[in-house]
Amino acid sequence: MPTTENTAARNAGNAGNAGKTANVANATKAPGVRVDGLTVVYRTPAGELPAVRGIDLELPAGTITGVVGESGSGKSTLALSLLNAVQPPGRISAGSVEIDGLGDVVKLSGEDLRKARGRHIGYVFQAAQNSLNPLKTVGKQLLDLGRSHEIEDLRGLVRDAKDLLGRMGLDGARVLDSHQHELSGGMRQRVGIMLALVLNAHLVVLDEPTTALDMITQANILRIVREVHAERGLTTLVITHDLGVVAEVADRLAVMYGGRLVEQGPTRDVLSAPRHPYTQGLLRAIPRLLGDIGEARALPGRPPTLGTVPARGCVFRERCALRMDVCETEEPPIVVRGPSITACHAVAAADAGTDTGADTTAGTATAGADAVPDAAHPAETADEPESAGAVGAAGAGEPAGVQGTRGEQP
Amino acid sequence: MTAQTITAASGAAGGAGPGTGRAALRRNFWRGVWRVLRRKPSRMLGAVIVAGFALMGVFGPMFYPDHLPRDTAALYAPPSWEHPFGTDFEGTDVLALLITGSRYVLLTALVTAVITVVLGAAIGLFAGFRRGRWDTVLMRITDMKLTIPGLPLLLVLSTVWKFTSALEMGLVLGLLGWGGVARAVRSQTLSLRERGFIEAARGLGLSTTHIIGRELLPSMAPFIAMNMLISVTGAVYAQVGLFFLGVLPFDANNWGVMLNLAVFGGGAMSSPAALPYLMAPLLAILLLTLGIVLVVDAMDEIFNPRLREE
Amino acid sequence: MTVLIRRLAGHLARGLVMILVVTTVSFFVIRSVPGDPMAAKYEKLVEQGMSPEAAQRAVEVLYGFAPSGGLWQQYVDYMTGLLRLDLGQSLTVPGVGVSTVLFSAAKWTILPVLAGTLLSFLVGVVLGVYAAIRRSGKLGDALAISGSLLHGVPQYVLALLLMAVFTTLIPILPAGGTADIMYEPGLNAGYIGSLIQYATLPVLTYALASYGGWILAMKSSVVTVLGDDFILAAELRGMKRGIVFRYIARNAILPLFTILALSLGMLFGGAIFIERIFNYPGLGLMLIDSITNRDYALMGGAFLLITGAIIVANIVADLFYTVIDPRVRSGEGAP
Repeated sequence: MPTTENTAARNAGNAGNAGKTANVANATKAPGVRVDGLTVVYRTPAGELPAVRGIDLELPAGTITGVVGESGSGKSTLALSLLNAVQPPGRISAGSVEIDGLGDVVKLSGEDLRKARGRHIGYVFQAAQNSLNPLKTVGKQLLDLGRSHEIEDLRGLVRDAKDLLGRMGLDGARVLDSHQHELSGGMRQRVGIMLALVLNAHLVVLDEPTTALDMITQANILRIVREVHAERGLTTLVITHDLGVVAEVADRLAVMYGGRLVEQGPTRDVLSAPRHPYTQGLLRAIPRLLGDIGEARALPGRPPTLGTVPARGCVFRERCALRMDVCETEEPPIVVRGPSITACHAVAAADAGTDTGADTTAGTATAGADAVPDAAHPAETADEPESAGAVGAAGAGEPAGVQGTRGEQP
Repeated sequence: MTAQTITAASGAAGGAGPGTGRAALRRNFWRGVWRVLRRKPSRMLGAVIVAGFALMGVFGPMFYPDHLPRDTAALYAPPSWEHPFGTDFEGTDVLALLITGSRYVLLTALVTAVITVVLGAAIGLFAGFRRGRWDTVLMRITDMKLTIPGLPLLLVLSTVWKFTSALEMGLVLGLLGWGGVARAVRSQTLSLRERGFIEAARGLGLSTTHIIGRELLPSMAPFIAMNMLISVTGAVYAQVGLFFLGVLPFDANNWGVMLNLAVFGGGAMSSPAALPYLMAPLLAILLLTLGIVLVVDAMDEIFNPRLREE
Repeated sequence: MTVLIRRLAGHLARGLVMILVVTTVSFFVIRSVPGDPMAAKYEKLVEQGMSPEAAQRAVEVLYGFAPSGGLWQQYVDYMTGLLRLDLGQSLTVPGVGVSTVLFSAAKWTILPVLAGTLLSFLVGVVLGVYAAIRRSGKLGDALAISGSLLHGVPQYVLALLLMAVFTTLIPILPAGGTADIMYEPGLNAGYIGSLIQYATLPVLTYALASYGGWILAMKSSVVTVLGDDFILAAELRGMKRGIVFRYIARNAILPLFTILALSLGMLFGGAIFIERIFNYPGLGLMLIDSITNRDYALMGGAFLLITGAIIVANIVADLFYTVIDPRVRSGEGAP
């Protein structure tokens, strides 16, 4: 596995992305997150089964990353892992989650972990509809939160909360005085976001933030997520099963299937030119508002469950149109193309076919092939010394982009 | 798997291939029962206890003469091989009293349970199936029944009825006890309705009797059966308690009478020698309770697939 | 507020209907049975050679009153008397009103039952929380099993077992009565100490018999709340353990308060076996005595009081729930 090179290439791509979206002042506050080899297993009568296996994912400081997957793909487990909050019978069995300013969250426990939650990492709950204590007003729960984190200035906390709620279009004073059942779904979701942000957490995890909301509320919430993200300079992770949500807010997109990350890259790239057969199938399955409904094609078969995920080889092979013999036995290779990463035998083979070198080290091989589509974004390429170097090595690059880069380098 | 198949498919199997299909299902069912019993020996114990009491009630009294012999030389004799639970204040063997007294107790319990369950299930099904005004009226009545405290009412009624036969006693207890079952069956019916059970059956053009008899009842049968066992224990308690309090005249022997005589007549509380006489019926009650609790636990697992251990 | 009033009105109407039904039924059941002690006395006097009129007068003098008129007239008299809280005259305690007899007996029932209920509630709730949190452990398991067993055993079996152990085998507690007769009733230490000593077994029995129900109810309530999303959400927000625990406890105990209110309705009629076994002169014992003595006025009164308490407790439980649960208070969710 050519991991070191890949990580390097990926980091470079992410850095370029970050520069594009987050402003410089906030970028210093927003923490970067590096998930490395994360594996989460669940204890079942059939032994410990992995719900999430070998995830490498980086959330560059100041970006919004979207994680997409069907239910059971392990995306919520991944989100909980960021807070080291996987619920029994599950547990993180391997890997690390490095957060700038906190260190490896997987190693935190007890009071340190509790204080990190809420204070450093805001979590907007999947069923935000039910994320409030039904017997207490929102305001009292806010004060409980303040006391839990030793906030001296509780008045200031309430002021901040009202301010945040006001910015999200709510009457802060009234909301703080309400019980959960007096608020609509959209309002509760905004209260959830407020509670995640009010302690000035700069890493925010939103788990299915818009599920079960109507379209208009959903659009509102997404707008708020974008605005708050930009205003406060956050690093944001959005977990969803809805590609539309990701397209709306995320800078980067990661696709999960069967507990694995199968493809990731800048949202625009992944959506416009998906490389993994699963991502392609997912995109094909979306019915368009305009055009023939018959064009939408569902993926055949069902997503695997904990018990049916294959232990070896590619997890998607059962439903894959491009399935090969090697998919049964070998882990899919990591194919890097510019800022995008795909884990697929077929994609690797296709790239190898177009590439004259046919290297085993997928990293360099695909970087070369990358040169053509990447030329569409000269600014991005220009920021990437490794990519540029790779292009130079392959010797088939675009004259303008390559030379421009080289010109700046000495 | 087996129980599920039974409840879900019994209607269909009954229509399609009555002979072979049903028989196969039944075989599967019994195999399932056997498996559940075998997995936890305690459940086997429960079944054995319940079966033992049933045999004792049916055949036990046959081994004793109508008038039990008295050994006037051994009043309040301590437990021995001859008298495992000692003797009472007249020198009668306590074990003999216990066995001959069990028939009244168990027969009452059986009658009560049958009446409770039949009446409760019928009223609950009717209310839940018809809904609307019938439901409101029936549930109001049920609520009232549930509000009136059972034991004081029984005491008041004991001035009118003498409960000389077990059937009479069981009838009264059953008539007083159906409220809880009716309520539970109604809510089960409503929840089945909510799941589109009844509408779907209607849509297939099935008759009301078919829907109730073949679709609703089978899916509720396990639940009803468990309620029946539970009301057996309730009836035993109520009836033994009523005799124990001494408000009823007694001409026949049963466990409640034994307790009454032991405590209020025999002075079991003043002399430890009389304790075995008191303990025998208490132990019988506790043992029967234990048996029934264990069997209910086993039934829970047989009929509730979610609880089944893998 | 209007929700509260509407609920209250509905409950009161239903409660009144229930009381009417109960009194009517008990009235007619009672009058339809043979063996009236007044009639028996009357016949005895006539047999002894007294003239019917003289016998009638003698009975009236003896018992202080006489039911007059036909059955319907008696019924109307009884019901109008009820409005004035007049339940008629006791036959066993001639010349004393039934209500007076009842109220003097009631204190011997209320205090032990209240003490037993609160004791078992507190212990059951605390252990129930523990059993829920440690439900996969040995001790949690043992607690739950102890709950099921005690819940399943009838009150009188427990009472008899306790009595056998503490008064016969290890005679350290008195077997019956309310206090040692050597003490003068009143506010002196000896009498009060004796009261407590005599009440120990009845209270303990009542507490043990109801403890199982509480621990099981609390355990299942806590387990339900533990699975609720807002508890996980509070943990993910980094709430302190103590605060999360309070969230759990408060939400879990809410349904139990309703059961508590309902079980307080059993204050009057819940200790019949215990009173009989420990010879404790409360309402239960009085009900039994009135039945053996065929004192129907007293019996009807006791039954009415016992049932009425339960009806009232039902109403209180529902209103209580309305007050403490904000969801019901605002008229939204169902109770």
